[in-house]
Amino acid sequence: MSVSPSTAMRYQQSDPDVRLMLRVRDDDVEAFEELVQRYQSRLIRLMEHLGPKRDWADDMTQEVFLRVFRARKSYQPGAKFSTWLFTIAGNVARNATRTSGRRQEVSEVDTARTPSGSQPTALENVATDASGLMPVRLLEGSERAEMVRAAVQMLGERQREALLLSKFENLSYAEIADVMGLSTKAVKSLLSRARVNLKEILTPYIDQGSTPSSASEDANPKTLPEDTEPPA
Amino acid sequence: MTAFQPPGMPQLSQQDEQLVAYLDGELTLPEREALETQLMASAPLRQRMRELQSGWALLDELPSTTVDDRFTQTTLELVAADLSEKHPKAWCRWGRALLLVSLALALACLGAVIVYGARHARFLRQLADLPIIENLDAYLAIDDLDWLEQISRNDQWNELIEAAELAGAFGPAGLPTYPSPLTDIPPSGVERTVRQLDPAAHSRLHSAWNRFQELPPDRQADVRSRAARVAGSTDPAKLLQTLHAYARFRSHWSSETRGAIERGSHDERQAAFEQALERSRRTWLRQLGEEDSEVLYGVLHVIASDWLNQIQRRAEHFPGYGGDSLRAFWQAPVPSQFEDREAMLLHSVFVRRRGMSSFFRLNADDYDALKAVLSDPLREALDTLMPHPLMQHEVLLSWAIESVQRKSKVARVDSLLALEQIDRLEVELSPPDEMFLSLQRRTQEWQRGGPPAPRSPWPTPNSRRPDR
Repeated sequence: MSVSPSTAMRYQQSDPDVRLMLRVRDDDVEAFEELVQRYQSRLIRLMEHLGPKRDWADDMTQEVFLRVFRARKSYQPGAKFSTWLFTIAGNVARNATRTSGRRQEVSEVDTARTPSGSQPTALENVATDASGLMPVRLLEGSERAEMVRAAVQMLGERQREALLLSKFENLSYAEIADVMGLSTKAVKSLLSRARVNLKEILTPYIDQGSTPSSASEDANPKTLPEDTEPPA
Repeated sequence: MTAFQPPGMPQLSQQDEQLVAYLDGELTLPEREALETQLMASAPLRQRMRELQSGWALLDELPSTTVDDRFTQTTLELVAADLSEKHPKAWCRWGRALLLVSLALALACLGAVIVYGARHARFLRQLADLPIIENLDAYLAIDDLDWLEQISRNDQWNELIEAAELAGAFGPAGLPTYPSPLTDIPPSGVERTVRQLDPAAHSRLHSAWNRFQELPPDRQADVRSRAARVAGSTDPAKLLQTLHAYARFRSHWSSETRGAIERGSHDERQAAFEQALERSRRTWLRQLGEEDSEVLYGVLHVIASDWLNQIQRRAEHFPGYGGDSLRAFWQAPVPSQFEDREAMLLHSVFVRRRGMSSFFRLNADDYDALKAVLSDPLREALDTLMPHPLMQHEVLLSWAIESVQRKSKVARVDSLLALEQIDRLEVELSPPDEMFLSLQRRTQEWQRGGPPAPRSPWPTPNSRRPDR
């Protein structure tokens, strides 16, 4: 992708991470170390929710940094550094999910999937095991966190990515659109769906303490569908 | 809203999108003001906004990520390890490519050396074969080398070959000499020697080379073996000369003669060979060079002049006894195709009557005169091959006829050139077997069409011949 000199200069002046990355391009290891330190925790958190498994987050994050370093010679400052970095992270996460899916398909040939393997049931187990049928609002903080994590995992992949970038990385709709390769309008719709779905999943735990399947059986599907981009 | 909505999920309204965008701070100022007005007016809308906000707020419950202290270090080590792996791989790849290229180059060089070696070996083989190829016809004609070697030691045979060569029986080039310029010279000099050969010899060698190449390998090996045997004989020069002469004679023999010589018993072979040589002698002596032909014609012209003087004297001394017709012949104009009256007479005697005229015949003195002017080699060949005088007269008569014929051919060309262009064209386009008849007819017509010419007094086969 060709970037005009004026654009490159603008991002170089406004984004300190771009300047770091330009030093990395010149094989400056210290600049790379600084970039790793700046983004490692944010990327690990992103990967914990985007990746197929939480304990893969460290490896996936290192894979992201590795890709950044390998691509350093061709780096052109055409956007904020974080936009470029999160685009790579999204690709790594999707690859990992596909790899995991293939592995799971293979394992399913020999082992029938138990009902507890489905995400809503897992969420139900988290609620009942931890509280002894007590309302979620009475749960301890760590247990609530686990409940929310399970709810986030129930979102579609793109909803989840948009939600995480918006909530934790404070990216604007336009920046999220850049990272995910969507239109701004599509991101707006995606985030709206994510909020509505999250609210619908978590409402039973918040208000009644019952599992989503008993409180809102119809409203809580086993697997939430992926969003479709609305017409521009 | 056109997006797919799963069953059981609440319909996603435009209002929800606006509320979410409002909470995310993504509305424009007019949109935000319009929505705030609605929120102040609508309690359910405010409730909906709180619900959406509450679910969102729960995300704050997610624990902050803890990063291992060694994460940065391990990441850098991972990158370093990746770099160190990549370089050897690159080196491996380059090394492999280099190895392949080197291998290909080595194979190419090896192939080139093999091809060059094979070509050089073939070239040396060709150089070694050249002296053999020079005498290819001789080696191919050998059927019994022992017998031919025995013949080559016969003095009479050698004199015969010499005489035949003098008579031109083996063509202008004669028999090849031994050793040839290509024999016993180093390979480096052969190429230069071949280049220095005269064009005719070069052409002969090239032709023989092509024929040798077309021979099957076993036949080539046979030729090489024969050449080695000849080279190893007691007198290779004489034997090779015999082989050449034998090959030339053999090419003129009939298949019966060849069969008798090659497959008959010793006596049959000897008889057939002598008989074939006897026939060949006449053939060899038919060869008459241009110079000999010219001098013979000069002598014949003198003889014809003598004959004309005899006619004149007879016409004067014997008037009324055929004298009138002889005088008319003497006084008749000479046709333009002949240079003089003697030429006209020679043409009549030797071309039309083949020397068998009853009035004009060559006598012994005439034959001696003819023989005397021959070139030395031809005269020696005549003495060797035809020792008997009567046989020599026969040969000399045939040469006289040949000599006058050659002059007549020249005269025919003059006659042709003298014709009108359209008549000449007609003659030239005639079939070969009708060309001379056509020329004669056109010449006569042309002469009749010109100034009235007296009737030719020249004796024709149907007219009365002048008496002697």
